[in-house]
Amino acid sequence: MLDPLTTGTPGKEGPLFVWLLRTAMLPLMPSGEGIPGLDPDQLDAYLRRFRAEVNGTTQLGVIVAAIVFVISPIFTIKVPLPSFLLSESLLDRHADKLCNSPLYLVKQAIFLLKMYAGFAWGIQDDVREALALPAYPEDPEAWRTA
Amino acid sequence: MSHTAFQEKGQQVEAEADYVIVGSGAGGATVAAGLARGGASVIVVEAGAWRDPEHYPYSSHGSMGKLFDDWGSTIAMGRAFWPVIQARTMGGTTVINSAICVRTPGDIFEMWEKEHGVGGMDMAKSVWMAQDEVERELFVQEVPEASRGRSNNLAMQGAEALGYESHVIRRYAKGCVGSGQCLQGCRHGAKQSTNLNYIPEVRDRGNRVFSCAPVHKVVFEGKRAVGVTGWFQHPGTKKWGAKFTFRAKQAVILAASATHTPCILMRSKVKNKNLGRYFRAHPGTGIFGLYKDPVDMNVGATQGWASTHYRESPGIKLETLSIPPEMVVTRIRGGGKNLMRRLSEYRYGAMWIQAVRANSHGRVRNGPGGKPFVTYTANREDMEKFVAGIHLVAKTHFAAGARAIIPGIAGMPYTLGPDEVDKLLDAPRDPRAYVAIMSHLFGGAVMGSDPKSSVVDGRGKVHGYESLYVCDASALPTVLGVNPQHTIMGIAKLRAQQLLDA
Repeated sequence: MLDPLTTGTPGKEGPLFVWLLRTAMLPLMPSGEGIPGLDPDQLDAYLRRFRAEVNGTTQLGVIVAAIVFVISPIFTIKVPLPSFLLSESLLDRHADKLCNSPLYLVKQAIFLLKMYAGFAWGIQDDVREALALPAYPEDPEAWRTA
Repeated sequence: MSHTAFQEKGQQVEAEADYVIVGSGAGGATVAAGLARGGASVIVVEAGAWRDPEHYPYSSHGSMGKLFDDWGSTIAMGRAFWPVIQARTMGGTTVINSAICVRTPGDIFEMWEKEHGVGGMDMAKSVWMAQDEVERELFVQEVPEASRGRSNNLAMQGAEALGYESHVIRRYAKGCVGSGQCLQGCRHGAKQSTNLNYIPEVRDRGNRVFSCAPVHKVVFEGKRAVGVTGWFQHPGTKKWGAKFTFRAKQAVILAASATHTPCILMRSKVKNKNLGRYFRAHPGTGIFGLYKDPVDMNVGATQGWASTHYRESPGIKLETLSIPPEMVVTRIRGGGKNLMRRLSEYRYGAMWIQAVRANSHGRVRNGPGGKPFVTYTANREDMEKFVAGIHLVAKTHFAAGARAIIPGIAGMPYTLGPDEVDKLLDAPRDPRAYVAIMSHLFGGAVMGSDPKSSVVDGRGKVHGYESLYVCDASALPTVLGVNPQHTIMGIAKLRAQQLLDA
């Protein structure tokens, strides 16, 4: 089983929203393949920003995609368990298979999930450093008011 | 005079000028500057906030939220779902594009005259003269050698090896340092987006500029447009603010984009059965080449190389396009460790794209909440061009020395080697097999001499109405096969002169 501190468990890591999205996003981009993966703590911070800023339609799409991720191991790897109860190797197989789904609607939903997981991953300093890119400073929140 | 941003509820904001211009991008800013220079008073109304380069976000999340229209969530729905990319900020899409400057090809004006009864070589000459001026004003120049970066140079080598014409891109940019951040807005202020030049000029000439002010509808007295109305919207919280009404003594000019201009006209109950129809684009997709040594595509100009050699046949444009790692994630197949292994090759990858001069057309409707609802499906003929473009990009990568390419096509291998490039000719013709975007939007309020088949006449005036004009890409009756900003700006300059002369 994956460490629940890194995958998150219901009721422990905060709102269901954050738990659901991190449960789906972390297995998509794990560490250990020559490049840093999604950092759980930074992902939580990103998801709070996502919740506060992103428009409702997009949030709904990402939530649906996360639910699909959690409930679909029965279809991808023929294991009748939700994704958060899978062993690390099964979870990795599930993540890869789901991302290669031939079903267009599933593919589009996972595209959205990957996009926002990618946004969270791409702002990590360790990722930028590994790719020989300068760290991103904080995005400015200002605009002209007069 | 001044700039006014978000205003809280509980007040009524009113203003009056000769011309009220809706939109501050390539069309709106250029026509506003032209009218202001001619002594007319203008009001520019922009839906998004006014951000200066120091306000531009660094991250892709930030740019999607703060610069793109509705988080880039407008999708062209059809056989496939392809995103429609445009901005919502002072300066419009000129803030987030790569500032590519291409003169309108002469054959476009000939085709418009033959098929739509507008255009012709007289219009061509006027537009080209206007484009001369724009090029001087916005410091158009080739991407400097020092800021081209390896990806752009490799593309040039590939095209030379294959023997087709290609060139270093000319852009509205002064002092490009090659930071690779065109798509997030140029924080160095090198890119000459219209929020940095025409809009400040309009304001400095004593005119009013309103930001955070999405227009709901045009106000009429009989068939004569006399102003616009709407509510301010806070760019952070999205809450609605004060109602505004801006009155136009001479005319209302809509330049709110190929998706929003038709929607504003529909909400204003403009009667024309062609409204929203003939929405077109240059759908495109990227192909990664994987090289032996690091390419570091995000070092150098985001887009520095292009070829229009195949514009007429089969009808495609080729370009480089560097995207940051977080955007690459969706272009790389797989998830989990497999995805991360592939992402670890990011530094060795270069993305080059093909954009199709597509004949397919779709439709823009006024969707829930005033958002544009776009339908579009690329037809078989366009998908043939799409595949031909992918094959050409792949061949160029291999000619430049790529060890493999990542086609990103459903049903095909993740990578192809140099000996497998012709497998791409058998790639699926189904739009669903591709991760594509709808770049360069056209139509929705198209220009033509016959009111039965168009929305505006050859001078941009809406058929059947007085004092109501369209001055953006929505009026263009066909795609161009080249980047549209220069055409939009050239025509906008011409419109300003025509209105001043009237």
